[in-house]
Formats: sequence, C-alpha cells, structure tokens
Amino acid sequence: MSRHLLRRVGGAVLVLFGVSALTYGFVFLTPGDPAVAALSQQLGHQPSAAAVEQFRATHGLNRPLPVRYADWLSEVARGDFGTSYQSGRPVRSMLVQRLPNTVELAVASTVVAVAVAVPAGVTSAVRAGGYVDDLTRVASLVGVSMPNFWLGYLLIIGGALQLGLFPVSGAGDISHLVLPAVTLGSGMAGVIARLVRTSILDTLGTEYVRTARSKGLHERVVVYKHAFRNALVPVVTVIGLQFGYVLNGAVVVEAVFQRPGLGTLLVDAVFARDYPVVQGVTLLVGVAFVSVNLLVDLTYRYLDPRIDIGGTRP
Amino acid sequence: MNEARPLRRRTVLSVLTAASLGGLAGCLGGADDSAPDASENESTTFRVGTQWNPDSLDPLVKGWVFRKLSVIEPLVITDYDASVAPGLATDWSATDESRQWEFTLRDDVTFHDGTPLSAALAVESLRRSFASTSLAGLPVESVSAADDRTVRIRTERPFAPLPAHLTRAETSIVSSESYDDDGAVTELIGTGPFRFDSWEPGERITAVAFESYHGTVPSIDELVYERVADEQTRLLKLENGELDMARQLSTETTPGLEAHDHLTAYEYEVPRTRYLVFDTTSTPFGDREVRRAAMYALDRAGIVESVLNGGGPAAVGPYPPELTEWANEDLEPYAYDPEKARELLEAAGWKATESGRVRDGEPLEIELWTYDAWSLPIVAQVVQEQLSAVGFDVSLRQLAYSTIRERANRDSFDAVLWSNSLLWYPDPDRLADFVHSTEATMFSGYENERVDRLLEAARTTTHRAERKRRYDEVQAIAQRDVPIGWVTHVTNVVGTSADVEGYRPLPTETCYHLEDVTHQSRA
Repeated sequence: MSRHLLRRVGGAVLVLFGVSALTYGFVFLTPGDPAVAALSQQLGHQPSAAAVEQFRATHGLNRPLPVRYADWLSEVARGDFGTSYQSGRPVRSMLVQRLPNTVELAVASTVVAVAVAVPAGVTSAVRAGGYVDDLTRVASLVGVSMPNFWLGYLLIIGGALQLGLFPVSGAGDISHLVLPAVTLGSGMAGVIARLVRTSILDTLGTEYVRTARSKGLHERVVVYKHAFRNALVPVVTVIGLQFGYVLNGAVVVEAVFQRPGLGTLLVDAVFARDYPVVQGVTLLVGVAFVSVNLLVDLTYRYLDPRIDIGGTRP
Repeated sequence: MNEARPLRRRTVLSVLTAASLGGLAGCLGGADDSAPDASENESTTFRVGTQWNPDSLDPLVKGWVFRKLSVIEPLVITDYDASVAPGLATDWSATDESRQWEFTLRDDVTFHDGTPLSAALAVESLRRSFASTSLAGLPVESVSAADDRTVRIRTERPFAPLPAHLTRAETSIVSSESYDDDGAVTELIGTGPFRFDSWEPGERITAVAFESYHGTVPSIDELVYERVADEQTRLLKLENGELDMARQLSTETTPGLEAHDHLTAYEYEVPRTRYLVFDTTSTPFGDREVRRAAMYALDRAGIVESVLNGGGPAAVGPYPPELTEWANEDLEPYAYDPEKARELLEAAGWKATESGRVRDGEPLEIELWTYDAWSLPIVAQVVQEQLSAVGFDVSLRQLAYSTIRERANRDSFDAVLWSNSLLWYPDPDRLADFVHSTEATMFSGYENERVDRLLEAARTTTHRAERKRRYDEVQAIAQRDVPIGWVTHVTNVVGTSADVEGYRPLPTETCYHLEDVTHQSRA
C-alpha cells in the first residue's frame, strides 16, 4: 500500500513536471511580447521603447528559453514561484490570496451537485421509466447543456436584480457563493445524476440485490444499504474527474461573477502575458487535479474492499 | 416596466435590510435607516467600480490608480482643459534654454503620516521615480533641492514637455516612509485628500478622507475602489446598489442608465482616438494616394451614428479641438467621398475588374487587424464594409494587443485599427510617438525629415505659440500624407447613483476628483 502510494506520488511529480514544461513551452510560443503586454497593463498606456528594453533586461526576457525554464524550475523547487511581471508581487502570495476563493467555489459547487444529483439519480433509478425518471433525465440534460456563463447571467438577473437576495458579484460571505456554486454545480449535477441512475440500475439487477430482496428486506434498505454503496464506486470516480471540470468551469464562472479566484487570476495573466503567474496557476491546478485523482483511488478501497489498489492480489 | 423593477427590488431590499438591521448596520453604511435626520451623522462610503486591476501598491507600478483616487499628488496636475496646472508646486520656470527647471512647492502640505512636505523629501521621491522603468527615456540629468521650498530638475537637453511629464502619476510625491530598505512599498503615504487605508490586492482599495488636507477635505468619509472587470457586471452592480459609480461604460449603456430614476449617466468626450495605422513601406498602402483613397472611402460620421450610438465624435485630426488647444483647427478633413476614393485608386493603377481591383495582376487585397477594446472590433467591421465598397478586398483579423504590436513592428502588414489616449501627459510632444521616423512607437514606418525637424525643434522651446505653430504644421503634414488615418474620438460614460452630486468628469481621466463629490445616504 505505502509502496504503491510512493509510486503514485512519484508518477504525480512526473506528470506535474510534464505539465510545467508543456505550459512553459506553449506560453512562450504564443505570439505577443510579454514586455509590451505587461507594461501596457501596468502603466495604463503604451510603453516607450526605452521602458520595454529596461523591462526585458530586468526580467531576463533576453535570455534563451531553456535557460529561463531551468531557472524557473530551480526556483519552484525552492518554493519560490517568482514575481508577477504586472504587479511585481510574489506569485506565491498571489496564489495564496486567490486559492481560498476557488477552493470554496469548487467545494460548494460539488456539494450542490452531489446534494442534488444523488437523490435525483436514485429516485430516477428506482422509478425507472416513470415520469419522475423522465423529468430527472430532462433536467440533467438541461443542466449539462446550459452554458455556465448563460446560466450565471440568468441567475444574476433573477436572484440578484429581481429578488435582490444575492449580490451581483464579488467574494466575501456565503451570499456571494450561492449563485456561482449553483451555476457551476448544475452541469456537474446533470452528469452525476445520470451516472447514479445507470449505476444503481446495474446494481439492482445483480445477484446479491435479488438475495437481499428475497430475504424480505424493505425496498429502501435494499436500495440505500445494499445497492447504493456498490453503485458509488463509478460515481466517486466521476466526481473525482469532474473536479477537473470544476476547475475549468471556475474560470468561466469566476469571470461571470467577478469572483477573485485562480480562474480570474489566470485569465488576467494570460491577457497580460504575465508568464510567472500563468505558470504558477497552472502548476497549482495540476497539483490539485493530481491529488484529487490520488484521493479517488484511495476512496475506492474504502467503498469496496475487494478493490486492491496495491495490485498484489487478483 | 423599467420603473417597476427597481421599485420591487428596493422593497425587497429594504425589508431584508430591516430584518438584519442590528448586525449589519455598520457594514451597510447608509442603507439601514430611512429617517433623514439619522443619516447626517453616519459616515458615508462611496464605492467606485472600474475594470482596472489594483494589484500593486507601488506608485511606480500602479500609481495611476492612486492618482485617480486622489491618494497621491504630483507637482503639477492636468486641468479640465487638458493644460498643465499647479499641483504640489504653485509655479515653475525654466532657464538655461529649457534645461534647468525650478518648481516652487506649496508650504502647507503634510504627508498622510503628518510629516510636512519639504523640497528634500520631494527630491528623494522624484529621484526614485526617474530611475524607474515607467519613466525610462526621459532626459532627466539630475534632481536637487535649490532651497527648502524649491525643487530643481536639470535635463540633458532642452526639454519643454517636462512639466507635462510631471503630471504623470509615477512622479507623485510619496514619503520615503512608504518603502522598506529593499525599496518594496509597505504602506503608501502620499499627500492627497484621501489617505490609503487598506487593500485586497487585485480586488479593492479602501481610502479614507484625510482630515489635514491642504485643500478642501472630502465630504466622503470612505472611498472603496473595486475591480469589476466586466462592463455588464459593473452596470448590474450599479443598478443593484452595490456600487455608487460605475466607470468606463460604453455609449450603448446610456439609454439604459437614463431609464432608471435612481441612476445618472455622465457622457463626455475624452482625448482618446481610434485610428488606422497604415504600413507605409509595403503595397498597397506604401502609396500615399491609396491611403488617401481609403480615408475618402470612410464615412466617419456614419460610423459614429451606426455603431457608436452617437458617441464619437468623428475625428478630423489627432486631437479633439473642444478638449485641447493643441488641436490644429485648420486641418483639411477627409470628407466621405467614395467616388473620389475610386478615382484615386484608378489613378494609382488599381483598375476595377469583374473580380475586384487589380494592378499588374495583383489584387487589391488587404488585412485589417484590430484588438478587442474601445468598440474597435465593431468599428473595424464598418471600416471593412466601407473600404470594400470602393474596391478593397478586406479581410478582418482580431488579434491580441501585444501580438499586433509585435508583428507590426517586425513584419510588413497592411492596416491596423488602434486606439490611444493622446494626452495621457498633456503635451503634443506625444505626436513623436506617431509620426517621428525613429522615435515612433506606432508602426507605420513613416519617414519625413521636415516632420522630424519640427518635432525636435518644438521640444526645445517653452514658448507656447512657437510650439503650437510647429505642432500645427506636423498635424497638417500628417493629414496630407496619412501614415495614420484618424477615424473617431472616444466618448466615455460614467454611471452614478442619482444622489451623487458635484461630480465633474475630467476629460483626461487622470483623476476622478471624488474629493469634490457629495453623496447622500441611500434611503
């Protein structure tokens, strides 16, 4: 188990290395001069040629790409993510400042999604073919298909402007979190509900469920105690994978609700060609994604002890 | 309908507010009590939403944010007529052929930490400014204190635009206590009517009224500058009472603002211009007559009417004459005359055929580049349409701002639709950025010896009429040669809640002057 964990962590580090090398390469291949972009954002007007030259020299932009990448790597290894071209602030402190808002959003939208999707999926499975099932399926489809930015604006108009219940944008207390979490959670809920339904239906058809029923157990006990737990394995996998979707979606949702998180930080940084910040956010999101996947693997074993992630037993 | 909506929202809001009155009273500012007598003793908070990111405290990096908020002040400021006016310095003069400048400081100024302003402290601050990237390229030789009230600046060569450059936020006088030994800003200590209080980097800045200010102390107690990047969201927040002022809105939003009783729209022209940069070194715009043809093909008034909601206005030259005396009012405008455009193209050898205009077997194909800001993409579409009407085969490409700069500086291109503020420092020396053969940062590749000589000579004298004559001639020559075709100016829209009084927009936008604004509590 622990050897497996070590191997997985080693693999994760390799993946992150690959991610960083790729993004570093891609960012620098994108057209657009970082000195000009960062300076124009910073100064609010067009930089003079002299200013651009001085900026390049200060930030080592005249050196070859591999040298810069190597320097960056060694700094990151020491826990230093460099300083932002735009603001001159340490990237690490920018990440630390923004991370909580994104984590909050990711967790809240996952909670919203699971809270809606699991009961909906189970009901849909138990009443398969009935009108509740149809309704849930249509709702899931709408949830999956509705673009986040569109739903976000609808919720702003409804929940903030018409009802005056929630603020239009920003971050702060829980009222700022509700609309973004619902927006982001809805798409995820659609996917999970469909999966819970299929998974429960599969499990309900298995031998042990028939055995449980033949023992005369109450249907609710059969569904929730016996079928549900086994049906959860694929669901947990998907929730784990959906976490990647949440991080992606956070970029759009944060932009719609002007929520100061990693998503908005990344978008700003990309537009300003603020490479150290782009690299910092990418790496952090990579770490989050890899960790969640690791966590999902570990959860399997708890849910279904027959799965041995160490791979030593058949 | 428009009237019913805010009413209903307000009702719900006030019911909710009443319910949560106790705990929230402090944070909600004026929103918690409808009794007019009670509101007089309350502190007023004024919230401004803009698209810009307050991500640095350093005046050399994001000084313009703090300048706009009147937290920091430079020696001289830009006035409402885009002229240079006294700031921390009451007057200034130049000797030694405009190489030695002396600025006399006000004697009643204290920094936000209570330290009185002296020439020595101002010198210290200015030296840091002139060493920075932001001001790189200014020919400043030395800064020193001539006496306790006089700052002396020597330039390497005669340099008339110096006072205009000193209006720039980066030259604002900041106490050295603001920095630690490594030069990092720990706390911003300026001299303005508002004192920096706190910030959440990238999100908001809070400033409070400075009671010992040397001018009128602001009636607003607390100022919150918030970043709301999206225009629509700024508008929604203003409508929802989450902002008292939403800045940088487009002219399309004015009717919406005016439909609300509780909102006010301020529409005003700013010295920012949308223009076409032609590559004067490649086909087809290397030919002056083709550039002129393109200008005659443009219906600039039509662009203003059709896609800018009347907010322009159409530009004749680089500067809007209503805003600055530096505009040459005698410029010959390019009237909308598609027939003349066609004639010029024919004369230049671009003959109309069934498959478009052709010269020596080459079609008249151009790429028009632009980027997404200041409604440029939509203006570019109309430009494309109008140029096509006289025989150009135009393809439109929207690229990133810095990509265009990089490519246009490196490779040949055809035309770029761009926008710039022409008075971010209030001096026409800025024209060198556009039409000087070696100093220009715009990329037309234009070279004209007479223009170079005029620009260089205009820098060396402080005699205003003499300078004006030279810049007028530069504008006239550029108008004839059109390396850059001026299309429209820009109208800015600011929305406020209706109870904001005394707001007077500064066209150059260098300062919001919120110290002059009164803001009644919302009932």
